[in-house]
Amino acid sequence: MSSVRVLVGTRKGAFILTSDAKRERWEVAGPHFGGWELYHLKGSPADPNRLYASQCSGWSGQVIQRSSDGGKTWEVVGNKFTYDGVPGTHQWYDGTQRPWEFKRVWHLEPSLTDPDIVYAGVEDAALFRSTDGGRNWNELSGLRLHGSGPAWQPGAGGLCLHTILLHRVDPERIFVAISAAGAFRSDDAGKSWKPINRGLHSKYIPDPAAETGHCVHRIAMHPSRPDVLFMQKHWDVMRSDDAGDSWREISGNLPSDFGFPIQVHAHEPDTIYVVPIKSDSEHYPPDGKLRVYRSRTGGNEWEPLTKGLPQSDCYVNVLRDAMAVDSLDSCGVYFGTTGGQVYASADAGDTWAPIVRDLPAVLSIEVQTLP
Amino acid sequence: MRSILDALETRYPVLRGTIRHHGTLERRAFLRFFACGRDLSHEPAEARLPDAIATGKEPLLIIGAIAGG
Repeated sequence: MSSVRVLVGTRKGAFILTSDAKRERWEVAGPHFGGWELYHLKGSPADPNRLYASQCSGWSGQVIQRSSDGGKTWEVVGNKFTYDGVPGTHQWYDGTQRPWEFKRVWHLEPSLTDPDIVYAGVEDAALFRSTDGGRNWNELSGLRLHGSGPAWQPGAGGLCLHTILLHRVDPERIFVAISAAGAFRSDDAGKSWKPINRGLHSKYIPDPAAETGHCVHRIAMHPSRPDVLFMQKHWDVMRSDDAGDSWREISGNLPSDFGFPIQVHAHEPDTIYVVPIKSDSEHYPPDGKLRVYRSRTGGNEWEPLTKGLPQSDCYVNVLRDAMAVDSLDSCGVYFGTTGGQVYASADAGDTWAPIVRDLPAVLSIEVQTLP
Repeated sequence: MRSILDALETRYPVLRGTIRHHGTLERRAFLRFFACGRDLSHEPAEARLPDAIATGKEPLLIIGAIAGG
């Protein structure tokens, strides 16, 4: 019988939640690495028992953990993230230039085919790759050095590369997103990059339609249609049907088009999920009601999903990496909140129930569907 | 100090980058070095440690700074 493993990164450790395919009863393991910030954990599609985890703290910096048994045991691998050459500078909040400085790994993306190959999106924004299971890391510096780097500036969370999408058909194609620089695409396995932000409009920057400078919060794709991209931007939910060459807004009837995560149903490429929050300063749900919004039409027409979610006095946020789906026949949807709840829906969002209610603030959620 | 940290990281490579920054080998800001009742955190890396450390009579303490919030 199939089962589900949910990997939860929090401000104070990692937790692994497991259930059978019914997704009614859950076992909770953890905290792993208690007291440390776990920005992201993710399993290899090629070997589900190979997990990678980004662990960091203000005291000891970055550590990368690797598991070969589905998270029962872990080993420390490499944590040396060195920018290629002279790192140069990027824009700071006050408009001055500041040297690139490694701070942490926000996102780990294992290769679709090789468990020893894994990509890391880091702050200050850059993309690294390891081909030996995380022991050694090399920057794919064509991204940072393609030309617009000095104009990139940090979002409120830092200058972070938070999204890495590997194309399911063309192994040379990679998408990444950076706050606050925008989205970028490589068609040669990461050697060279181009901004893909045409159609984005950010009214709070000097040129609202600039080639870079947009605060992209998250991008998602469906594996069967990897050139169709969905984006939750700082404001606006967007869609591209040409691998990011152009974008159009699909915010439609959302109560707020500000938010962080966006996800696609495992079996329906035009069914997408967002969690609207009120504004860039408030970062909580409108009216104190935690609502996931689902579009079954690829955007523009949205329905609130509320059954089982708190509909009064709720002021949590859902961060950009904190929503995921499983691929069981009835698609499961999961998200974690800054209040420490992890909610699951085993029926594509129609009904929800908390798996756990009182974890530390949730930074990331990933789901593995196991045979 | 540097030779002790070099030896420590050679024996336990997973500590590389967690006490001192990669490349510059500068002490991470929130870690402190104490020995023989003294704070040695701001001593130059080449500074000679107290004899009691070298002879093994006293430990060199590497601790996280007390900083919370």
